[in-house]
Amino acid sequence: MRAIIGGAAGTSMGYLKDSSTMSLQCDALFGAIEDAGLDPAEVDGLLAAYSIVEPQIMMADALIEYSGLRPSVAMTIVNGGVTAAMMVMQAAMLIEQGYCRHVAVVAGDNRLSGLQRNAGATIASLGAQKQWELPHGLTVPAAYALIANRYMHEYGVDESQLAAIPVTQRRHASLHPRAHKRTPISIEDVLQSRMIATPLRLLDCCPNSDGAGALIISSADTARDMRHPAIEILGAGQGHSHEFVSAAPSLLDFACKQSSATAFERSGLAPKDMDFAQIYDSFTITLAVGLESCGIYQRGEAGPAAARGELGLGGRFPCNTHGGLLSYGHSGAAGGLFHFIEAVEQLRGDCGERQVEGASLGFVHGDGGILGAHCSVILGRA
Amino acid sequence: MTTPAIRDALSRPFWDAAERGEFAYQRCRHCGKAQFFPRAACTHCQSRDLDWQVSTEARGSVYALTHVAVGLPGFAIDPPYAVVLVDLDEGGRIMTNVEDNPSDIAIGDIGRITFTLRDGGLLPIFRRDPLATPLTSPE
Repeated sequence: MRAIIGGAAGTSMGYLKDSSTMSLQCDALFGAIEDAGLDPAEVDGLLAAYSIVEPQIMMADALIEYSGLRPSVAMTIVNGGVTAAMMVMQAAMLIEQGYCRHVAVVAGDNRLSGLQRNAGATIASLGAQKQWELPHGLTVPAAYALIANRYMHEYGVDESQLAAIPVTQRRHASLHPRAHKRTPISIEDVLQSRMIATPLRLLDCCPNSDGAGALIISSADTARDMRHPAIEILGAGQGHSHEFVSAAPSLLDFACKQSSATAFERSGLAPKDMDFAQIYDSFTITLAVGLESCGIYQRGEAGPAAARGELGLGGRFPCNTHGGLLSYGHSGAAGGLFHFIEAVEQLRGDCGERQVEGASLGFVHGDGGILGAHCSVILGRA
Repeated sequence: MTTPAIRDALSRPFWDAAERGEFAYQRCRHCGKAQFFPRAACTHCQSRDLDWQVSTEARGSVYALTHVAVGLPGFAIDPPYAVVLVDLDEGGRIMTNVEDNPSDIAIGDIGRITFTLRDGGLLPIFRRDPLATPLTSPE
């Protein structure tokens, strides 16, 4: 049986005073169940992720205990930024294999308010290998900066071209009521923002945000009972090569090439068929590399394409129409889930001012580590 | 919080060589390729038959670099500090800082890996050749 997405919900984003990881996840979970029009008792599968601020070794069971749900299958998936996409793929497999009829996929973290407690140094050092990278002062932005440095050298791309990416996404976020960063920015703002690790400046980096998201992934035969039109999961694929940047086989070519090729092949569709893409964008370079490694743009072309307006609403290839991690916000494992929630809202035609006209097919991509683990999913209006 | 580098049984030959000012790296007896950092298996052919080789002058060139302006909390060097990926002539890639932390370090700059004492522990560091012509002209 095919898998559909029948419910989606995201909490408010930003600094959510007194929020906790569990309360945020619970809000998103029950929001998605309500959005699907289900009784909580109908949820027979639950996939959860991780929290940096309030770590749990068994997040799925912690959430089961906290919420009172009693699914027959539950798992915790911990794989950095790609976790959300992997949870969607795993949920689809549980549905297709008949283990479950309604799987809740949940992630959330109070990463911004949590920064004031223990999380700041932990988050900064998350991307570094403890023996061979961390002793050299590698931060997460610095790891991506190494990729950006080589990319710009190789393809002759300059900072102002890449700056068009966060500017475009901020414009999208300004049209989204839940987005964390909604004040429009200019190319100049990006180029004059504080240097973090050359060539990446503050506005090339996503913020930390409190927030959570959830999806209900269901068996297609339940679609008629749902409150919203079903969104089909048409294909998914993964690609893996490394965890740490110094061990990456290439700084130019990443395993999103495999993940997207598999997802397109399984769906019988091609990049040209997509009406939009929601692609992981922890930094501007993450999106540029994603668009190019997935074969949507030629090498070095993503920045210039953004500068020509192609990635914006009404452009040739609208991308991250909610604002992405860069502006909608980044709440740990939930960061990649917001791309899916936006894709669902676009395919339902519920996006108002930021609606991509006639959207019926979309590409969603997550990656984890320093562009080392990838999962791509193709969604379509049923 | 970040130094001295942690060591384990697998990496001990590297750190022992470092004490002598030498650079030790693994070479696969099966496929002949070098790798850095050390592991229990060859990343090229998956053989576990790995040999250690010692070089008194580990040379290489800068593949990518960044000047970190917002540093790791508690890190020994005040920002901005350069972090570079160096491709070793013998094969393999290593992450290090750069001796004297020059602001004009560039892709293609050549030099060698030496060791520096930081917070009571030895760490590899890239020493750029002062007189060499870079392989690739800096941007």
